[in-house]
Amino acid sequence: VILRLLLLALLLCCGQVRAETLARGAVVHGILAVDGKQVVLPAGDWTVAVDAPNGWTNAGLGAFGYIRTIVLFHLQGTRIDAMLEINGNVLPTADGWGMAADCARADLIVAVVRYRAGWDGSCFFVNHTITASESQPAWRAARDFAASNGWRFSTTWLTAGFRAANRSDIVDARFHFAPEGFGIAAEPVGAWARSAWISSRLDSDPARLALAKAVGDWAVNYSTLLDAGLKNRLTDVQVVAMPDVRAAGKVEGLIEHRMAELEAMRAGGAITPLDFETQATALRQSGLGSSSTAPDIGSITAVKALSYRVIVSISHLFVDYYWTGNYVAAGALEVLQITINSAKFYFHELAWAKYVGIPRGDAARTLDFAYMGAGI
Amino acid sequence: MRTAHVRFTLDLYSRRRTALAAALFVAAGWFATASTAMALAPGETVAEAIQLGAVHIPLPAGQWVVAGVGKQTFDMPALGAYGAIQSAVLLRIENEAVVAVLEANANAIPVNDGWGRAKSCTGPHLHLITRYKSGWETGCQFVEVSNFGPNAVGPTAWERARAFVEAKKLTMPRTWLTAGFRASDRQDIVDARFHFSPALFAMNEAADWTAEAIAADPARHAAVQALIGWTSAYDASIERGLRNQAIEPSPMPNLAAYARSAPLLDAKLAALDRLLREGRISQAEYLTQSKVALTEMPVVSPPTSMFSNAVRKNLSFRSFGTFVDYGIAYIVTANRAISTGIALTINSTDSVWFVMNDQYWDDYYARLNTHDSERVVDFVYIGVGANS
Repeated sequence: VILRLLLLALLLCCGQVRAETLARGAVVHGILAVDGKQVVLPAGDWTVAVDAPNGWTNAGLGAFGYIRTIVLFHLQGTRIDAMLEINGNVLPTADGWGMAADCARADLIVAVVRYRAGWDGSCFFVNHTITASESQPAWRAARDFAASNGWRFSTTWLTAGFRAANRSDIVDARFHFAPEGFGIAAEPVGAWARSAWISSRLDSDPARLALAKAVGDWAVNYSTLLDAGLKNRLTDVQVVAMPDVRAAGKVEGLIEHRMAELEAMRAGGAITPLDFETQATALRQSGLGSSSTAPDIGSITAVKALSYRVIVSISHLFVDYYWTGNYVAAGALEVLQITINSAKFYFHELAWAKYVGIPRGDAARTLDFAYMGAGI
Repeated sequence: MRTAHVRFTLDLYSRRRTALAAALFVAAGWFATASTAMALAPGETVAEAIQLGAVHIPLPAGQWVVAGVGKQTFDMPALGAYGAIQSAVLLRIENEAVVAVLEANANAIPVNDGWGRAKSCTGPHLHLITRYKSGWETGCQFVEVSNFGPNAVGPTAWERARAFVEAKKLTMPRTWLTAGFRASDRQDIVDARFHFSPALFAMNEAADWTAEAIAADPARHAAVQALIGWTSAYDASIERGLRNQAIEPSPMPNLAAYARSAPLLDAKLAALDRLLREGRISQAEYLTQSKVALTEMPVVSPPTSMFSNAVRKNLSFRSFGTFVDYGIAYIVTANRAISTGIALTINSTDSVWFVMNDQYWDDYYARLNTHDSERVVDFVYIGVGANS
């Protein structure tokens, strides 16, 4: 029995942690396997600059081992024309992760939440990243590695960020593209807000606008690949190009891909012509269905507080006047009750949700790791 | 889909909303699903895991024979374009006898918005654990006794498996100990039922396998407990298969180290041990996460309190809110009696509003976030017939 116990423990153990860390300087391409997930790399060789713990901790999410940060360089001669920073969990958890705060920002070039619930989510964004100074250990190590090899490192990057998460795993991938690689001059700024890549400044800058649009189009396509990688659906036949300004606007016909898949099933006899027609019609008319999102607990609480306050304020008017018999006193009471009790209600609701009540796991949460250029 | 901000209009975004949602959500379907969906060939011997539709299904260690493949007669347009529900029946054969049957069902193409509930996740069973149940996901396992023989009705894959059994002149029992699994996420669904011959546990299939008889007989009880232990451990493999992750073979339930009470926890602790040994986490992280691992496996429990959440919350709110109301009233009126009257009246009336408001919004958001919670997705099973 003891031998069986040990054998099963060994089998289960080895199934959980398979990947080893990547050696600095190693060259990877195609599909990168990362702790039970896949990340597809755009065409070309990518050099491993860093594979280290992110340093992020949150015991509330379960025993995830650690958040692993991998930094890859894509070289064009001696210039780093693209970098990829990947953050992901090493061990699977049981109760979900969360979305990236950048996906909900309103001041970026693009920010799209495809779906979001308590346990899963998918989103992407396009932003610019400043690396004039870098405080994160992983990124210091990446810069040192680049410097030791004599590779040139841009200070401003156009970033396409992606987040895909389900109940057990999370992948956060951020591609940083050097504008110099697209013929746009380097930008010597030290703060995010002073950059010419601020979305509101792009209208007057056709070159930057074109690149931003190309990266946005590219991000639409790539986000689906990240989702596929989270469920290990990628195959080696998939080739992903780097963003191309000349190809801007050529977003893949994803509905057409799905339609072709249905057609292949019909041709192979896996579904009947009637099934095909029914599903193809649904696909044409309404796509693949809705992609719903779950509100966060703060929004739910605010809605509750507002509706409750409207109802009880009307009720209090009568109660206050009944007991005081005075319009002024009733009015003063009403004002105080609205202001004090609204705050009381809101914070009690939040405290209850967090510490006492039935956990609302379907209230989506936001979580972020340490990223390159964050806070600059 | 929520587009927080789009600085410029992507070509794709000019489509109407539903099309946009669909177009953006490729759902990984065109990568490796339909092309491999019907790869199983009848008569083929397989081991470790099979690919069925869009997912992998793990197999207990040893050789399994594909006896029948097909698709379910299942139609639910509300799910979207899932292609078909593909089925496979695999047999474990020892000495010309079928000692285990796997009936598995999975979608061919990923969908976008989840699947639904399963009747089998509600019991009654000898064992039932619901790991999670949300708007887009369901995870449950159960153990029960099934009765079917080579003449039982079932899905197309089973009809073909019956012919296979007859052609090969195999024998099979009529009573089975069944371990069932249902796991679904936003994209995919797995419904797998492993039927094991009682003979595997050195039990007589002709014995009385009712719940009462099992409870009264230590030997039969031990056999069922063995299967329950195996089921709890195997759940993790099913989950990994749903995500197409690497699956290490598990032993058959009669050979498994089923005496362990928490195999999933043991596996997680072993994984943390390995990370510590490799220097990938610190001693402090190891200790913290080992402690967290003790409580992280979810199990959905129905509420048992005689008061609803809204009522208990109201009691909590009133316990200090009444004093605040009294204080506000006293500031304005400077009269204890009037202030007491106002506080108590508000206490009574607001309690009603509070509970109604709370329940309304909880129900509203529950419907919003678990929109498919009432949708039951079941298939045709061996010996059961259509029960959806």
